[in-house]
Amino acid sequence: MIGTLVRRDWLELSRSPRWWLLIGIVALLGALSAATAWDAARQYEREVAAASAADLRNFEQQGAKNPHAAAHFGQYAFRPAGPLAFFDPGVSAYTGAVIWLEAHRMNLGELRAAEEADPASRAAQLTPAWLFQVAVPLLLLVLLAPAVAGERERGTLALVLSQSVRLNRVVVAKVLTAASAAVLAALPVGAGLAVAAAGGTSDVAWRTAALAGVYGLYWLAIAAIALGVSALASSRRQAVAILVGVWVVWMVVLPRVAVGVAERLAPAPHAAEFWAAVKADQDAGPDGHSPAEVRRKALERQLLARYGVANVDELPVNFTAVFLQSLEEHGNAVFDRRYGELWDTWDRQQRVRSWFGVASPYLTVRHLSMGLAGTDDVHVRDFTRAAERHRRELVHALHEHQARAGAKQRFFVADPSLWASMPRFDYAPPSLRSIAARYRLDALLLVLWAAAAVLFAAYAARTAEREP
Amino acid sequence: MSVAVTRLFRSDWRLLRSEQAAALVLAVLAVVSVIAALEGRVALDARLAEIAEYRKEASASDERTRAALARHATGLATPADASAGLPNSLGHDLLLVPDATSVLTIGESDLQPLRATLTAGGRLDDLFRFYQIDNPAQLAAGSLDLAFVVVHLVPLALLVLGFGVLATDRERGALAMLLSQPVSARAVAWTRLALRAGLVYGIVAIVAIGTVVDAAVRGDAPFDAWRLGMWLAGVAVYVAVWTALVGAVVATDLEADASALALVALWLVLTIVMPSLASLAARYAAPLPSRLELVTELRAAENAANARSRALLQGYVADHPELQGAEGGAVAPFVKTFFLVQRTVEAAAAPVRGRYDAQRRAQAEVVAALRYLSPALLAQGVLQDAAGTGPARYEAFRRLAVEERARWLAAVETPLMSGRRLGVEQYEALPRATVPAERFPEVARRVMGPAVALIVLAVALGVWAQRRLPRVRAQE
Repeated sequence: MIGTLVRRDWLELSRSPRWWLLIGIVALLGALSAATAWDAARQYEREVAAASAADLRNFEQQGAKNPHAAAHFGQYAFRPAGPLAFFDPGVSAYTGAVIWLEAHRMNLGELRAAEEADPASRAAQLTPAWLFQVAVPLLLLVLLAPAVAGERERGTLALVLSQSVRLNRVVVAKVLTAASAAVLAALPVGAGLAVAAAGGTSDVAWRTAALAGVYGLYWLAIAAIALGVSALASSRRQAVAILVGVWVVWMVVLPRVAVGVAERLAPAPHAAEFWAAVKADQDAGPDGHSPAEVRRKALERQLLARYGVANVDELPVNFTAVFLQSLEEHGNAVFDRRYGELWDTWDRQQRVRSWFGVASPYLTVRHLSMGLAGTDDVHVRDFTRAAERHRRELVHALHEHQARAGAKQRFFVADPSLWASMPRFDYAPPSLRSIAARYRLDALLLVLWAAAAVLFAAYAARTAEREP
Repeated sequence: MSVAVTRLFRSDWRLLRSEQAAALVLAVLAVVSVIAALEGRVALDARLAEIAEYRKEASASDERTRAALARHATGLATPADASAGLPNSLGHDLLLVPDATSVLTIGESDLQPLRATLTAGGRLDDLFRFYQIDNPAQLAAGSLDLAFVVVHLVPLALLVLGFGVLATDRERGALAMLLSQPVSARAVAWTRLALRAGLVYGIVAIVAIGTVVDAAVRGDAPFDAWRLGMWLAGVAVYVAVWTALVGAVVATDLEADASALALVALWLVLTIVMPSLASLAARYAAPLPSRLELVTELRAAENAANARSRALLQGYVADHPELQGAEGGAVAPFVKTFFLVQRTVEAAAAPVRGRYDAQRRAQAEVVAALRYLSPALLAQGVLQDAAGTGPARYEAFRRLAVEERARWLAAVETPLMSGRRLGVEQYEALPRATVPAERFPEVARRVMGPAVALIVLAVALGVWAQRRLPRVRAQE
C-alpha cells in the first residue's frame, strides 16, 4: 500500500518541472560547493605540509646560538584541516591556522582566514554542510507544506481516505517521497563524503557514518514537522507561511540570538583584560607577592646552598638556564589558570548555544556536524593543547641543555647540531570515541527532536483523519 | 497627495490594524530590532572597555617613564629605572576608537584589531598582536545587529506584508469593487506597499536613532550625525528596492500563494545564495597566496640575518660615522643587533609581503565588482561604511599603523644605535599619532557606487511594475 502511495506521489512530483528545477539547483550547488571545498582543503593540506617541513628546516638551521635564544625563535605549529573539513569547515576560518611556540608565552592561533576573507564570505558561505543544514530542509519544507493541506484543498484527501487508507500511511509515503528527493539533491555531496570515508582511517569512516545518521535524523524531523503542519493547517497557504516562518526563525534568527544570550550569560574577557590579568599573575609570582627579581635571588641562595659554592659562576649548572626554566614553570601555571578560565567560559557559552537546540534543531545539527567533521572548537582546542605541550617540552629541553652544557659559562652558545635533536611536533587529531561525550547534549536533543516530530506528525495525521 | 490616495491610505491603515498577521510581523520586527540594538550596544561597550584598558596601561607606563627620567636627570635613578627612556623600551599605542554609530553595524569590528603597538622592539608582523582571543564558535555563528535585521529580515517583513496587496482582495472578490471606484490598481498597490514600507522603515529608524543617540550621549565614542544620516538613507534605499521588488511580483498577476513563494525564493537567492556564490567566485578569481608560506619565508630571512648579525652591526657603524665610538652607551649591543636583524628581515620579506598585498587588493576589486550581483551585499557594504565598521576603515587603520610605525622607527633609530637614553624633552617629542576621524566626503565616495546601483535597481523595478500594474486582473 505504502509503495503504491509513494509511486503516486513520485508521479505527481515528476510531472512538476518546478520541483525538478529545485532538486537540480540544490544538487548542482552541492556538487559545486563539494568540489571547490575539496580542492581548497587539499590545497591547504599541501600548504600545511610544506610549511611544517620548512619551519622544521628553519629551526634546525638556525646556526650556533644560545638555547634560550632558540626558544625565543621557537617553532610554529600548523593546524591541519582534517579529511572532512571540506564538508563542514566549522570554526576553521575564525581560529588561527598557526600557533607560534615561543619562550615565555602560550599563544592562541594567528592568521585567521576570516580576517582577510572577502566581506561576502561573512554574509553566507556556500559549503556542503550549509546546504545540508539550511537548503535541504527548505526543500523539504516547500515540498511537504502542501502535501496534506493541498490534497484537502483539492478534495483528493477525502477520496484517498474513503479507500480504507489510513492517513498515517499517506504521511509515511510522503516522507519517503520527500526523503528520496532530498537524497537525490544530496547525492553529489554524499559521493564526496563516501570518497573521504573510503580513503581515510576507520575513525573517518565512523565520523562519516555518524554524519549520515545525524543528517538522516535531522531531515526526518524536518519532514515530519512539515507534514504535521500541513495536516493541521487550514490551507496550503497557511502551511507554507507557518513553515517558512519557522525556517527563518530556526536558521536565521535564533543562531544569532543564541550567540548574544551566550555572551550575556557567560561573558568572556576582552583581549586587554585577559593579557593584563596574565601579566599581573606573572609579575606577582607563585605566592602572589614575589616579583621576578626576588625569586631570582631566592633561587640563587637555594642553589648556592645546595652545591656549597660562593657564586653562580661556580655552580655545576648554568644558573641563567635554571632561572629561566623556573620563570617558564611559573608562567605555565599562570597560562593553565587563565586559559583554563577562558576555556571554561567558552564551554559555558557552548552549553548555552546547545540548549538553544531545544528551540532550533538547526543549532543542534550544526554543533554535531562540525564536531564530526573535526572542525569545531573541541578539535581546535585539542590542537592548541597539543601544541602547548610541545612548546613546554621544547623550551624545557633547550633550557636543560643550557643548564648542563652551559655550566660555568656566562654566554653559552650551543652547537648547531643541537636543534635537530630537539623534540618534534607530531599531531594526531582526537578519535571520535575519545571526545564523543562532549556531544551528548546535542545528540540527545537531536534524537528528542526526531521522536517529537514523528509523534507530532502521527498526532496531526490522526486529527486530520477525523476532519478530512 | 490626492484625495483618493489619502482615502486609500486611511482605509488601508484601518485594514492593516485589524490584521493580526500584520501586527504580529511588525511586533516581531520591533522586538528583534530592539534585541539587535542592545547587542550592538553591548559590543560597543566591550570595545570601549578594551580601549580604556589600553589607555590606562599607556598612561601608567607614561607616568612611570616620566618619573624615572626625572630621577635620571637629577642623578637619583634607582636600578629599577635602568631601562627607562631607552629607545627600544618605549612604545606608543595607536588606537582605533569605534564610532557611536558602530552600535548599528558590528561589521568587521569583532574580527579586526583596534590597537597597533608602535615600538622598535619587534617586526612589522608584530604590529598587531594579542587581540585574537575571541571564542571562534561565537564569531562563526555571527552576531545579531541592526544591519543584519535590515539586510535579512526587513525584506522578509516587506514581502510577508506586501505579497497579497492585490491578490488577497481579488481572492475575496473585493478588488473589482475597489477598482470600480475612481482609483487605479497602481494607486492601490503603491499606496498599500508604501504604507507597509513606511511602517517597517519607521520601526528600524526609531530603534536606530534611539540607540545611536544613547551611545552618543554617553560620550565615550565619537559621534558624527552624518554617519547616522547616511545609515538611515542606506536603509531607506534598501527598503525601496525590496518594496519595488514586491511591487514587481504583485504586478506579475500571480496568485497570492505563487507570489509569496516567488518572493521567498528571490529573498533566498538575493540575500543568501548570491553572496555565497560571489564569495566563492572571488576566492577562485583572485586567490590569496599562502600566508603560511609568508611565515616560513620570514623565518628563513631571520636565520639568514642572524647569521650575519655581527657584520650587520659593523656595516651600520661604518655607514654612520657619527656613531664611531658610541658602541657602549646605555643600550646593550644585542639590542642594537636585534634591531638591525629585524630591519633586515623586513626588507627581505618586503617582496613576498608586497605580492600578498597586491593579490589582496586584486581580490578586493573582484569582490567590489561581484557585490553588484546582490542588493544584500551592496546594502551590507553601505551600512558598514556608514557605521564606520567596514573593511575599508580597518584597511586604512592598518596602513596608517604601518606608516606611523615607520615614523616611530625613524625617530628612535639614531638614539638607539648610539646607545643614548632619551631625555624628557626628547621623550615628549616622539611622534604620538592618533587615528583621524573619517571625513564625510571619503565615506560618501565609497558608498556612492552601491547606493546609486540600489537606487537604479529600485527605480527600474518600480517602472516595470508601474507599466504592468494596469494589466492585473480584477477578478479570479
